[in-house]
Amino acid sequence: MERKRLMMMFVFGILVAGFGLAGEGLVSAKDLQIAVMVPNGVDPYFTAKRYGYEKECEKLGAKMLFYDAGGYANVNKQIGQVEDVLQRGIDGIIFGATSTDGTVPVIDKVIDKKIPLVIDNLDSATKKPVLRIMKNGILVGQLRAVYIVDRLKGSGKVLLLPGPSAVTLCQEEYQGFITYAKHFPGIKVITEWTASSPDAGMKTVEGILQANPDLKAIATFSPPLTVGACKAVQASGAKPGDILVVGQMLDAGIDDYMRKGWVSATVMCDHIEMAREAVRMVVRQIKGELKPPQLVLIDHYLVDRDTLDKFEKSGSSYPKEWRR
Amino acid sequence: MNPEGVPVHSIQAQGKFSGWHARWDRYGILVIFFVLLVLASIGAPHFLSFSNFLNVLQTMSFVLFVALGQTLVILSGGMDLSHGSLVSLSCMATAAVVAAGHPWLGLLAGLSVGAFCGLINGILIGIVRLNAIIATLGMLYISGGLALYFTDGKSISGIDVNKVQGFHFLAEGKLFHIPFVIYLALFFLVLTHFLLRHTRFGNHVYALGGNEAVAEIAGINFSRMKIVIFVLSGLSCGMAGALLTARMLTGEPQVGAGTFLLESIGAVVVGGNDIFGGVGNVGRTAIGLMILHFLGNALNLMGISTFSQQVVVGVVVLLFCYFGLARRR
Amino acid sequence: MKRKKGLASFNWSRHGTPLAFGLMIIVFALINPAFLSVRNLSQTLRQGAILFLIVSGQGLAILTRGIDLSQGSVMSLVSVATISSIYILGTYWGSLVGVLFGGLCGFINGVLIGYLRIPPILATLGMLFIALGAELVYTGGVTLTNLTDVDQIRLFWFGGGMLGPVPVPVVFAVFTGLILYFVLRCTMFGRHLYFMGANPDAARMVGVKANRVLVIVYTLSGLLAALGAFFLTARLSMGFPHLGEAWLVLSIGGAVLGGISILGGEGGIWEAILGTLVIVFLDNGLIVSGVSSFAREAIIGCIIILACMASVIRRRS
Repeated sequence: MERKRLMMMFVFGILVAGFGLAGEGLVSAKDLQIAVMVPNGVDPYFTAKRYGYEKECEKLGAKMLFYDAGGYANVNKQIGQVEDVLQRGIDGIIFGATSTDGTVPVIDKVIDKKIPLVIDNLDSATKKPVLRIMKNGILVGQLRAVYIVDRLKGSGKVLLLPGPSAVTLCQEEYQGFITYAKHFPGIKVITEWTASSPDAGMKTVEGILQANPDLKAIATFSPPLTVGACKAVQASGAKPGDILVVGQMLDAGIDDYMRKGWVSATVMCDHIEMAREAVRMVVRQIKGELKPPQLVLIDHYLVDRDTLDKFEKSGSSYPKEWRR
Repeated sequence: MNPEGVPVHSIQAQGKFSGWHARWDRYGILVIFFVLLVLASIGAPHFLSFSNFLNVLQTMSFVLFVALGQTLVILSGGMDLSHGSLVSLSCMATAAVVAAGHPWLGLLAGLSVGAFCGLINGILIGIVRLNAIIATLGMLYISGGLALYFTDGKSISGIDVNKVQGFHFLAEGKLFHIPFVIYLALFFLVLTHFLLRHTRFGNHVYALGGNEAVAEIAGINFSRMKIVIFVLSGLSCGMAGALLTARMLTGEPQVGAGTFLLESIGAVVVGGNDIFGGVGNVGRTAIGLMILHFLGNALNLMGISTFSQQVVVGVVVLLFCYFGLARRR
Repeated sequence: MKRKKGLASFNWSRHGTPLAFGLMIIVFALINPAFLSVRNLSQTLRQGAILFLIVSGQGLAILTRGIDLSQGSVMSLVSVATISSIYILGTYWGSLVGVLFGGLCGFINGVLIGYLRIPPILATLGMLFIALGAELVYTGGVTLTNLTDVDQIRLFWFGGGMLGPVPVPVVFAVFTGLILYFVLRCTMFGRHLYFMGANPDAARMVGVKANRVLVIVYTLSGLLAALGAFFLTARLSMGFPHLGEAWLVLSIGGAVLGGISILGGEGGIWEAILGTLVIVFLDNGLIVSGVSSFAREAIIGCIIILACMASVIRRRS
């Protein structure tokens, strides 16, 4: 019985190997093929960027292959996806890392194979020369701090909700904020690391408000946290503007909250334009026109109620009819 | 979970009666796997290639360790929910030691952390007699929190690949063009199979899963068995965590928070092992895991989004359950 | 029976958790008196109302020796479905449809478990993936806002409004709790439910229609999770595709902490209330006291284990 089973396993193994060998060499490629690899496709940030990638690839006559790792925890899966892409042969890769350090070995492999690569926003800490296009996390944190310190005239309690501690961008924004605020001893910062969800934000702000009724401002990482903070502030009986709320981006109805005065300001970036630029960069590298290392830092700007309708929206929003 | 008082006819379920029904019991899963391969080859571009297969097998190997541990626990009538977090914690422990300059000590550290947490699980379940689900659920929380706590949620980096080439080779090196980690996983697969089928310990595992009360009467030391089983389960997570560190050359505090737990249980179930314990083997788990990974790979290659993939996986697990249980009746 | 002396005479297993709860409140109040302010209590109870609904649903499933792993995803689905339906049908009908989606998921779970005999852990796991995948595909991960002002105000009342001095969700939770208590203690259905949890074989022999009971139990679990999600969505005025992510573990933890035995057949509404209160006040207390977010996770884990040890010891003695 045992031997029979072993035989079966052996035959099975041979058959699978046979399948594999038979299929080798069926691969063919015509237009430029670009693999876009994002860590977390469900994030509206990446959904928006997909529009940018898609449209720019279309415009430049390239075929886009979209890979979604499915979450920041799926490092192993993303490494597998990169290896996959390496095996099948690709002209260029645009990469957003699930883990800054964890993807270094596999990215090094890509660079060693001389495949054009642009790291887009979620950095991989490779030391080898590579093209990068990045948000300026430190600047984002600083912009929030500048606005708040200015409005509070240099003194007051501030709650900082930087988001999940495992996300490098959150760490950068935290650094940016803290190092700026440090120059003003009258500004006291309370930091609470939470998941980026509205109920976590609401619950945390409610609790902090209880312990610190003299809170003057809240700085948040993302739209869900911003909404949660607003809801908690509303529930505390404060009037719009009593407590400053400074967030990031305008999704999830933040523009509405801003018009009503609950959100004082938000830090914007043109993420869709950033996606387009990433595609342009990788195509130029494929053509040999652009050589690593290069670091492109995108701009950030502060928008408040007065400038809400006055800034250029095309870089950060996509038409409603487009569906991924 | 093996609810008290529910009789499990394990002898019957082992397929000792003849006929095509029995043959389907034993080999049906292989047929399903082949059908999947054929369908995927037709439907998914670039699926049918040696390099693609090797790639899938390489990613799968890391999970296989964890699935082997889970098989052991489930066969004995329990379940280990702490798997994902233990992988994260071991990864961090390994990385911390490797970053300090001792790669092989790091491997040991990862294994020890996993085994130690497994020991705690085993004591809670075997001696304090907590329900396995509760104890491992609590361990999930605690070890997950610990993995984040020590570095304030940041990852451990700074491992120079040139200094730890041997260690890195474990996860990324190739022997005769086949990733080394696959050999490692195969080795442990065979080892676990041997443990289950050809040792007294293995016999006792099945007995516990078959009918706990009877097993105890027959003289099997419940406490000792549970402790050993959960230590082994924790060890398997330690192995996976250490190897992940070798692959990434980083300690990621949430690396296990993804699909490790779901895949480890899913593989056991899809492979046709009895969720209540007592019936099955590691070969089934391996095939179950392959089905899950090749399915995911095919869907990926077909361009199906990750969330749609989740729906498909959900339906597939349900279908397998249903057929698995129909078989049991 | 020997009479125990001193500390040993105190019935730890029965009174342990409530005592711990009382101690916890005192400690937090001492660290920061703001903990006991009317507003803080009211806000925490509001959160508790939502958790109670979800925990009682999970409790029903656990009582029958099952579990409902799909609650988190169902919450996310209902949040999205509610807002989407409100776009089309207006506040009240939209809300109803959204909640019914949750009931539908629960019903499917019930059929899978009751009639197809799939183990609850696996059926609800499958549903977890299916519900989550479906709503993520539908929304693309994008949060649904854009309610008309009228709808938003009407909807908000459910989550954030007050009925007199009491928050609306709390009133609803109390009402639901009373009904569930009555059903569990005073109806045939309730008796059958406990019987099935305590001794499934005996129950079957006596003629308890297990399949029907299970369908009802899981439909209720889905509905209750849906209601929890509804009140949360109403308060946030948005359909958030990841709403339920953190709540599944809390629902299981709350049920078990309160004293609903994971082995089935033991526990009830009081236990669900107790477990809920412990979790929300522990969480709130830690925030108000300024404890770091990482330590919070580890603390909750320890508490779950300790509480379970208590429940197991009770079973053994």
